[in-house]
Amino acid sequence: MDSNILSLRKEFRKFRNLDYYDQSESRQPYSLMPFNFHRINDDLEVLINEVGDFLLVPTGTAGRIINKELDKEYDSSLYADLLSNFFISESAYSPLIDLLATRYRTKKLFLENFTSLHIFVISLRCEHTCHYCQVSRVTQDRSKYDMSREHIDRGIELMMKSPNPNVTMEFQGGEALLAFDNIKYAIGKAQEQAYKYRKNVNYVICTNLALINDEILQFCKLNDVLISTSLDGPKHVHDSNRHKPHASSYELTIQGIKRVKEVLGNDSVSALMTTSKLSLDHPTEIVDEYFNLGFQGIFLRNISPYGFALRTEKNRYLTKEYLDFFKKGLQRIIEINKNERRFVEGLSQILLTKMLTPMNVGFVDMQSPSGIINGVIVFNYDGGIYASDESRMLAEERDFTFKLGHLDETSYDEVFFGDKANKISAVWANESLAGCADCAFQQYCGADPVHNWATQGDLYGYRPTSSFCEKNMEIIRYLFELMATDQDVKEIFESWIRI
Amino acid sequence: MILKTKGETHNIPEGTLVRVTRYRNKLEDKSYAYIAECDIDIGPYVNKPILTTANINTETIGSRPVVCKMSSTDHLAEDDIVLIGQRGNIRTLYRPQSISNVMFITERCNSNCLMCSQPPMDNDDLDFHYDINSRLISMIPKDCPEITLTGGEPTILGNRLCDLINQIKNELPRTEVHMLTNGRSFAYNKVAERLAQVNNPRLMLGIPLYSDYYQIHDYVVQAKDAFYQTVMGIQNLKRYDIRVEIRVVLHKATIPRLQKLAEFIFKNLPFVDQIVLMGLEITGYTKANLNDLWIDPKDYMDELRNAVNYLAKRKMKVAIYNTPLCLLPLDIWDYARQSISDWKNIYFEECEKCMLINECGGLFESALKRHSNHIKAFKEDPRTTLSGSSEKLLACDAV
Amino acid sequence: MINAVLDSKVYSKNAIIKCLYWYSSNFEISVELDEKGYYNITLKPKSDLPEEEIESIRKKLNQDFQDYNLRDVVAQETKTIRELLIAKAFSHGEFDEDPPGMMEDPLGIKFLE
Repeated sequence: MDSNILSLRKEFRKFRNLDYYDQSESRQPYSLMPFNFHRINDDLEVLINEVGDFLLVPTGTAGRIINKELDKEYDSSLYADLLSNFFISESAYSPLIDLLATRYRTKKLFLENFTSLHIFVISLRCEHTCHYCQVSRVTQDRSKYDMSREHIDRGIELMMKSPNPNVTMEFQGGEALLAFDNIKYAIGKAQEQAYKYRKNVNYVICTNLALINDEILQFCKLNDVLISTSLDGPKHVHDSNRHKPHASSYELTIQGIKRVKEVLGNDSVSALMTTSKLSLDHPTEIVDEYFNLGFQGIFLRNISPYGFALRTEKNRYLTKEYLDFFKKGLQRIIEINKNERRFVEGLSQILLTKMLTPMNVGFVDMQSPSGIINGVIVFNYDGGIYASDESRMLAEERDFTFKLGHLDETSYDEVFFGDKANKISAVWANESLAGCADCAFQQYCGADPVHNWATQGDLYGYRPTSSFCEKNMEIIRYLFELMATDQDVKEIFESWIRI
Repeated sequence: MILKTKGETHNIPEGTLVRVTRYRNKLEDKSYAYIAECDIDIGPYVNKPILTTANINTETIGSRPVVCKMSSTDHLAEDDIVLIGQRGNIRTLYRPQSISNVMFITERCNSNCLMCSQPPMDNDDLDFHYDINSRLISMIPKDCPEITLTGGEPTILGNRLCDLINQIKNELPRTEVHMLTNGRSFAYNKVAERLAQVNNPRLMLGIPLYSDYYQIHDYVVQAKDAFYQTVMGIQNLKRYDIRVEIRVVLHKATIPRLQKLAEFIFKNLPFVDQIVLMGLEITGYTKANLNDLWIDPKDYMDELRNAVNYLAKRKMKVAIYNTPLCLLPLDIWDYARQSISDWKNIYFEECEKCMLINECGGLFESALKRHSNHIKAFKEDPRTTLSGSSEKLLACDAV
Repeated sequence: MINAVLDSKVYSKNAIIKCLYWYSSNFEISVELDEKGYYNITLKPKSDLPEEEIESIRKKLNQDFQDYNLRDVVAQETKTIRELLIAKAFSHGEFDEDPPGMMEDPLGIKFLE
């Protein structure tokens, strides 16, 4: 062998120790990669990188890192964690920046296929009188509150234009089943079009189940239609919220759920609660109600500040009371997980999936860019096209800020890419909003221009008094605190994440 | 089991590949050579190649193709393919009875792993092996289930590696191709793209990653920037949906941050096809570096279990290689595989008493030099002696 | 009334403004930069607040000034990296990095074209 090669080889093949591979010498001190931090409590803070990976550390660590006080030897374990998680770098930027970019793109993947949820408000008619209902109560006889067949056709046409190969067609009301004939027509039409446009369509009917019968159930079974219903909690809570003249809404709902499960299977019906002022006093009972009925979990929603709800004094309440309710409910849910079985809290599940996984989560109420238009579109009973469910509720109050057009006259492009959409797009990314742009929880949270408009009279929103902001920040902080202080809870949370 | 032997070659060009047989009628097929006991008079097949341990007189051989005075032919099974090489070396390259056939690409390597089981030689042997391998592929039976491409570092072969894989795709379309590589060359996207163009759907790359922290990985593989190159390589390969398996050899340097490596893989490389956690083989460079590497596997079972469960819960495919069942906690037995190549797979005397010997992967032959102090036979199957399952139960406690 | 005096050599304007944003609903705020380079900041509560609460707000404000200042340091240092990251995220490989370092074995023959 060539002597040159021999000496090269000797050099190359000599075994070196760990220190030899230290690359920090080339750049002292280390450089920072984009990240933020937030104080969890007096002892802990959380460091969060550009794609939502986090490290829980003692208070003051962020300061030490940013002031370049970290020592590679003394802080060796933390240093390694920071380097491998893209908080710091030993060169101008991490050599794995392309990997980080791919992760960033992955986090926004919910945008890739654009609008998926298409809500058809098939009828405004309803026989309940829920005190928080954003939709005005119009009783059974007035059929001018049903969506016309022409409008159904046109809505389906727009739905087929979505670039998303998977779309959801969701029927809402009023009480959607009051217009069951039109639902049958709509689904039939959609199936025909879906075949033609090679789309996969999921069907959901939102109903209070009072009107459920065998014919409807058989139809749903045949056509793979899922049911979504409202269950506010145990009888006294539910019936107080949802007044049905001459009957107990709760009884009807419970019976309905049972019947649907029997015919369509256990996973075919989901329930959503709405929180009223009364609900706030009963977090554990509401959770127990859902648990005892065999549901996989519960979404502890707050009441949306729209429409009818705002009018009644009954439902104005401070975010702080909701947060108190949420925490008590979550504690009860954690207890159930410890002692009984897996039982998920919906909002936490979404947040935890964003925190603990690299996956993207498209949850229209809390994403950036926001879910309105990008994720959901609403076709109202009268042909109006709205950016979201809440947007059309504002319309019931004669506020048409988020009305994007009408099924009789507006083209797909005009709806989705027209002037209104453009105007909203300027404020729908939290990366560029005051308060949000510097928030450590940015990647977990979202922007909601509709909420801002409805509660503050301004699309852009004013974070210091935003209930959206206050609620989300505190819940995220709370989840971090729970995970940091209780390993069992951390494991329970990890069992909730959606892979 | 031996894979090479030596003999005296006559009238056979160096580099000849033959299939061996003990049945004369198979000699109709030109690729065959006959294993003769002592009598090399084989009638009508007089000009066919013969392999024998017998000490045959040169005059008797004449111009016939013969390898005589071989140290052994007992290790040769029917239809094995051997290479008749330089200086009378007879190397077995393919055994139809084995599921662990290997195709050696080169002894060159651009890494120098502390525990390398096949220490690199810096000889330019690319042409030599390429020539043999391209002929070998044509001889391998079409029902070969799997072939492993290894070295050294196969990608050093460059474009011709793609040619080989393409040839395998065309001539052995039902054969799984597993290539062991450090993945560094794929940091150049063009290299990944070229491999993708071959489009062999049965190809999977086994790429080692030893830490989430660059310094530890670079130290283990003894190459600066290897970590960054390897991770970039995996990313590029996945652009083209090429199957990638991440391999982690478990030893003193890789165990401390094993959990963090699992987290790194889940967060950054969730698209890999599987993760394999491997017991250490005491061969090659390992012996020289044993003090820096050796840890009794029993002592790292907590770390192993945590990493396995972490990945499995997140729906990633995990497997444990090269680790006997008596060392593993019961709750991760499902992930253990019988992974050791047959020709270096052994069982200890203690194992002969074990009722689970047939399910267990056993040990490396080299384990005779150094092994866990906790190898112990099972008198009962611990899975059936428990009424409920307890996550923290260690299998050997039940014996 | 809460007063704060911050050295402009230590605290950036951005950090101060972003921090005070969160107090602007409950306080009337004024910020002035004097000739010596100090920011004189006053926060006047819009409604009556008990002394203990003002004290705890003062403490939090102090902490917030430091936190926002730290965030600003990161933002300044990583501004270009963030832009690069987003550009890469929405690219199709045009901006991909070259691999760092060397890849050859002792024979030094380039095996990559």
